[in-house]
Amino acid sequence: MGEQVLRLSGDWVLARLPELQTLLSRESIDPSLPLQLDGGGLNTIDSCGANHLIAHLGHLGIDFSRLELAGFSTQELALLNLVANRGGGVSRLSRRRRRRGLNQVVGWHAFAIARGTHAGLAFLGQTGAALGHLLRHPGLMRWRELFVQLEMVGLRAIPIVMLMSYLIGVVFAYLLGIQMQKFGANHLVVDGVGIGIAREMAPLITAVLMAGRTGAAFTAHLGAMKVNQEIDAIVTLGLSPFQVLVLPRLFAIVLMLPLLTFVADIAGIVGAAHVAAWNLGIPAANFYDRLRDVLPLNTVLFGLSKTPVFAAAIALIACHSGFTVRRDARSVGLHTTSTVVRSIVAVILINAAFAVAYPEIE
Amino acid sequence: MTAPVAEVVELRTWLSGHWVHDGVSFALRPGEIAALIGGSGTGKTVLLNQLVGLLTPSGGQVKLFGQDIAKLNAGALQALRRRFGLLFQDGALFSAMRVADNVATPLREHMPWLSAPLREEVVSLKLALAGLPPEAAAKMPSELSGGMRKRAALARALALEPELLLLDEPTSGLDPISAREFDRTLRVLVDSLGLTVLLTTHDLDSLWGLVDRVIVLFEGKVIADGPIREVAQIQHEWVRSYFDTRATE
Repeated sequence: MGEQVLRLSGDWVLARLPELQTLLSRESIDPSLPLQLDGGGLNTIDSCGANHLIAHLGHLGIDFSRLELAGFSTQELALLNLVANRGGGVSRLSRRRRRRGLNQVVGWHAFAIARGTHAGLAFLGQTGAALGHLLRHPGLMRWRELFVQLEMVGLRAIPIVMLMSYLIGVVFAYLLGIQMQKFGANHLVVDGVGIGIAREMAPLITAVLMAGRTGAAFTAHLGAMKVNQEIDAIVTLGLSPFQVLVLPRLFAIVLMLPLLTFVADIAGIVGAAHVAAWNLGIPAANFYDRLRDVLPLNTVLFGLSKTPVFAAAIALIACHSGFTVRRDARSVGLHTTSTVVRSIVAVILINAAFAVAYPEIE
Repeated sequence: MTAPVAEVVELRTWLSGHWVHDGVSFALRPGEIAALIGGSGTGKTVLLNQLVGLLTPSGGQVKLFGQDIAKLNAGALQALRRRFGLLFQDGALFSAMRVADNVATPLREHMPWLSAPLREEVVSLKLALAGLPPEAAAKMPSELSGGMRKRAALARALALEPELLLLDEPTSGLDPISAREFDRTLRVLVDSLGLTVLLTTHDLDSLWGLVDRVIVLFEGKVIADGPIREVAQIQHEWVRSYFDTRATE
């Protein structure tokens, strides 16, 4: 029984792995015989090359300790030993997830929904408790944070809210005008536009805009703080994240949304008045005269009164979503997306509930 | 004498109102492990970021493998990026990927022709070299402890068999046993692969046991550069107190 010799030559490096794999698999090595490794012709060997060699021999059933090593430099021997001790064979990285049956999928989602609802209610309760605590101890109010938020949420949103609402007013008056012209009743545009904008369009557009703009900002901000453990730090310092983070944001948006909606009312009506003047031959003075007669104050107030509810829903959804971000970057993105979707849905649902509850239009 | 792997010439950096580096120069020879030490805020991390082209210095030159990185076009810089690995101070693992995919990312990017089984073989080797248990591979970075995250990041930095390894505080956050294990692994890799390493550290045991050369940054300048034994003898207030802390342990 002779001895086998495996002579290594050239470069055993990462870039040549596929080539080395083919070369090695062509060699017929008998695991029952002693094997000598001859590194005399070796140019360079890196950890990947050494590992591949040792793993290949290991698959054949030849343990590294049984190899006879010849012609290697001290450094190459050190590398081989390091790789043999540390790296070793190829451990399969379990990639496949176990398939789940229908029951498991349904059950998993049911529990996820239950957990989500539970967490949401708990968040609502904690916010309520924090609010109650603040009412008993008004000194805890974070004025600085509140004013920062008032500026971010309210002041800086005015231009975009005005622009959106103005354009909605233009389109609304234009469409209504075409219909009314068929009956020769151009002046009825004022009735439709006034009620439509003040009661539905301005509150809804502003709230949807706020859900996208402010809700996303709340979630992303709180989520990034969570990733950075800043929220843990707030708790550790003996502060309540609800007092410091949630309540100022809640107050800011609840205060600002009605004001922004009022701005939107005016911008929308101005847009409609412009279209009425240009396309329908109703001078601005006549438009506003008629508006005063046909748009009761109560309709405007009804439109405005919905908005604090929208605002509270947006703030609570956004803050809760921000607090439940997990500690990775993708989670921030996912939660921000879900905030925008959920708060817009919530706004539209609440709006529908108001429409059903108070159907009478004066 | 072979050409330096990395070279910093008269580097000057103006950051937030003062000169962080005010004429820093040194060159790394192939196969040496050099440590950059200095107090907090002396611009060690900034210097590493400038070496890899993440930050542009206010003045002076940074050369990698003989090429001035400020003058390289995007393609050449991309090719250069294969040749070094950087370990960020807090790991900077991709949080949306499992650990194994983190390590596989540079391989996928730079060696797309590597078959999946071979890639897995390389990934599990690198994880093992960095001292991670096999079951860590399938975990998400957020599920790992700080020390484990550091090792996963090291595995990623090692993935492409780099010629130059830049390590920002590699042993901080590791227990002393793992830290010495890390030093030994690094030493073997350096000796057998001809790696060059530049690391920043506050670990005196690493400095004494592992490092060939210490470069001391103080007030924007290199105040000492040489083997640890020589540097530790230098009569300079900061250097004195830095090495004296060991006596009180």
